[in-house]
Amino acid sequence: MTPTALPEDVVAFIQSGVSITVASRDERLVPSIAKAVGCRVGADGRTITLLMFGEAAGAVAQDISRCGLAAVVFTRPSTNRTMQLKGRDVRHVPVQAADVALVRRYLVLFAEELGLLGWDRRFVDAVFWHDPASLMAIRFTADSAFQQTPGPAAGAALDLRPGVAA
Amino acid sequence: MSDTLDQVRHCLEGVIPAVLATCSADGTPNVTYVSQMQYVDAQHVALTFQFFNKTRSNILANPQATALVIDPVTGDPYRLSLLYLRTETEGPLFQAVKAKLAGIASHTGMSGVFKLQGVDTYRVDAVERVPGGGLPRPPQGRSRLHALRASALRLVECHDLDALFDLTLSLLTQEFRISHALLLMADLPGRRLYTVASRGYSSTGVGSEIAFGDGVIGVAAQYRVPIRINHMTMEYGYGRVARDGAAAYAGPLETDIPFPGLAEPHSQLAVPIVAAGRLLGVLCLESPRDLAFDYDDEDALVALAGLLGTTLLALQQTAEAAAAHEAPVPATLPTGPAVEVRHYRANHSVFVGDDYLIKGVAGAILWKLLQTQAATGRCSFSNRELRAMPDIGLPELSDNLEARLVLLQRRLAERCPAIGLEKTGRGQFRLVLRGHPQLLDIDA
Repeated sequence: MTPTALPEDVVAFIQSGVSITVASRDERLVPSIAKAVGCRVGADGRTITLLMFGEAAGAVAQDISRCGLAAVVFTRPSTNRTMQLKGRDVRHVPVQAADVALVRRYLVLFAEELGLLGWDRRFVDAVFWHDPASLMAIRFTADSAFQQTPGPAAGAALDLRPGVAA
Repeated sequence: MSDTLDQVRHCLEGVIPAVLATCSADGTPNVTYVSQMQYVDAQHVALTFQFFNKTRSNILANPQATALVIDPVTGDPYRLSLLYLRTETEGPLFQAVKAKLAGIASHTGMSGVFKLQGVDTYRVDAVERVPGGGLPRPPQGRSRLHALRASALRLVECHDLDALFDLTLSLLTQEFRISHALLLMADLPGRRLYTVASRGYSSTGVGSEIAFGDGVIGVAAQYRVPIRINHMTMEYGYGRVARDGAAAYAGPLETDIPFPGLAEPHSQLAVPIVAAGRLLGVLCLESPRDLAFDYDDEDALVALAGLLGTTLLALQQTAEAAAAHEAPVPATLPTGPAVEVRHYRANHSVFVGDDYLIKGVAGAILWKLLQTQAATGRCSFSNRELRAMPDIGLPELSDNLEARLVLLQRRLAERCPAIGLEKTGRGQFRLVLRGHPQLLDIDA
């Protein structure tokens, strides 16, 4: 299947202040997991770039360079809306000049989201902010997507074709 | 030095949901939030299995998993290397997880969505600290270990069951700073528990009953497992007595005495009291606050309940073994105003005037004492002779007779000033009449 542009609401959702977690795996199929701290979708509407701090990424960065596979879960804590995207063409790309600012903006939005649940900005920064020198970027196109909002429908595949409601 | 699971278990209260990565047999990773990760012991955690999803098919094919958890206070993140071992669909762990999940579901607006099918147990092979967090942890209140030591020192000095009940609740208040607590004893044949003491409620509720399986107390008793809920949930309320037919086994539950618990507890911890392999009762703590009790509280209360259990058992056995060697108290004729006491044979319920007092075994005991007193003038009795009275119908030798006498004594003290029970020695007690009982035995 040739990847097509993601539905607009998905593009908006994954670029908002949602929690982002990335998983990959090593040659022994041991899973790795880390938080991402920002997401941008390219002008083509389908290229997803995730920003991660290398010092907190652990094995995920290395696993991605070796297998090119990733699963990414996005969730909005205040509503439990959750979605998982998977890619098979995941690679490291250079960080751009504006990316540190994007991470800061993301953490502000995420802190606003968590503020609804009683967490403060200080907590969000303590957990997620690291030395900008360790910022790294990975890029992929989603070849599958899954609804993961808690409930019996969790796990249902989402149709990524444009015009089909997600 | 690597961290241990014990050091990170406060990350597992469900305040910040854990994230779990798995991988299918063909190598495709998957990542999902988990509604609850429960600490089982120093090497194991349990996750809920609610729907057959990708995570489930992955772990059945490839048991390796990696979880990310975050400390809700310090913000410290940790990665846990996990290996799936097995799924349990019933039993103590299942019930403990089910109860906690109900609280989380209610708190997150997911009541009716979360449905526990099984509990997946994972071995924790490594705990890795991830950079981040580092916020200070506010100093904790009193050390639970010190509170436990102070409690132990006083419990072992106690030589009377009646005093032991009150001392236990006083220790919870003074040493553990817990303001709402209940102590219930088990009626094993009746598959129920009856309240013998409470603290922090508008009425003591002494004599009120809970069926096995009902609410956190009934589930803790039935499965002999601590049940801890961190948020308000209706699923574990006490409104539905006799729901599962447990009470039908030995007559209806006591419902005339209202159960004293908080109407809307946000935190509950029920710990079974077990000694010599037998369930003796349940200690239950409540709080109007969310997340009032944590894993450390649970540890301390389980240890306290163990000590309480052995003390209870020892005091019961001492009371039973005591021979009637005390000098008999001379028979006295009751004086004072007449008091009508009605006894209904069907369920041994006893009314004083128009007021309901008690029923069941405690009702039968009171009736026997009053009848004996009326016929012989005797006021002194022993636990041992009560055992030998077939018409009281004590369920079995192991039944907690001494606790039932304390229950009866407390109900009389609360409801009937004209009649009292007083301990006169180990396994000895005396009927104290401040009125003249008019006994009416009703065949109904």
